[in-house]
Amino acid sequence: MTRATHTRYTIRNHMEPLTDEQLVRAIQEGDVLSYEQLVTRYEHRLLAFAYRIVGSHEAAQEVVQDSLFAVYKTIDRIDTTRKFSSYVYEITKHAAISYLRKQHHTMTLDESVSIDGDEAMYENLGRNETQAEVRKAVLSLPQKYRDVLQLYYFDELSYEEIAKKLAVPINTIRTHVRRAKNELTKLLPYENT
Amino acid sequence: MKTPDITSRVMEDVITFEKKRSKRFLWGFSLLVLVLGFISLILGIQAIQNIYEFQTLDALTLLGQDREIIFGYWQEAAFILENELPWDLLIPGGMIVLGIVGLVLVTRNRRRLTQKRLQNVAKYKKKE
Repeated sequence: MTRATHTRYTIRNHMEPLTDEQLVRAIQEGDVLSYEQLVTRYEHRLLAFAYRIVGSHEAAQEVVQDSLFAVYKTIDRIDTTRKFSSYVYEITKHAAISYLRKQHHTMTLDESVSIDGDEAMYENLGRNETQAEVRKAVLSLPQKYRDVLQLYYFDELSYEEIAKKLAVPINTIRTHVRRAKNELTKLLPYENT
Repeated sequence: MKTPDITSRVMEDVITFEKKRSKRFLWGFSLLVLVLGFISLILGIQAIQNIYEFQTLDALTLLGQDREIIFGYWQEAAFILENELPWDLLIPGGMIVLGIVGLVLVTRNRRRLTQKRLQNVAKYKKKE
């Protein structure tokens, strides 16, 4: 950062908080400590966001810590003309999904070690685990898809009944269910394997 | 939700990463310049020894002569220089020196940035 830029940042610092993009530029110019401001700014929002996906406070903390660190590692390549928040949320979403995927694999491995022939128990564990993961994935979908899926799969209503209940054309319901299923396939790819 | 101290944990990771990255870059740069400098120095010394051994530069004494003699014998002197100078040492040596200059120029911004990052790291450590 040149002396003039530094002075500009310093002066602005006393007047008004810097925008995310200004902070990113400052970090790209070597001001590592500015990242602290960015982290403080996003920490709580990201925790709430990650919690909605992973469903546990500890896991959300781990995911947020990892994703904020990942953001820093790629900060030199961030385009400051684009919105920083979208980028951070995107990284956190991916980190949360990876976390869930990793959890799934770990659990499956643990079970395979400890089943000792008790297949009924194993099946039950697997089912519960899958249900919990599906529920988590559903929670991460947009509201309109979530509502339709809830009514269709969990409340077991027909397309017609859902259309009536939500006062939406039946074809829209069909489209929403299809798109929601596509989204779920992306979120839970291992369910297909 | 209970607020964990994520900021300090992330900053710890960032500072460790930055310290490692900056040091790795500076070490890499210094090592490369030193190795290239050493190679070009060896080539230079060998070239100078070669030139002294064959007294190649004696051909240049022609430049101190009268104009007519210079005009009469310059082609011969140029031929001696062309044939006796150790080009197999001078060309790679020169290219390495140019490479070092290029490297220093190309990494100018990165070195400035790294220096600033390390200053920030030191500031953070001091604050702790």
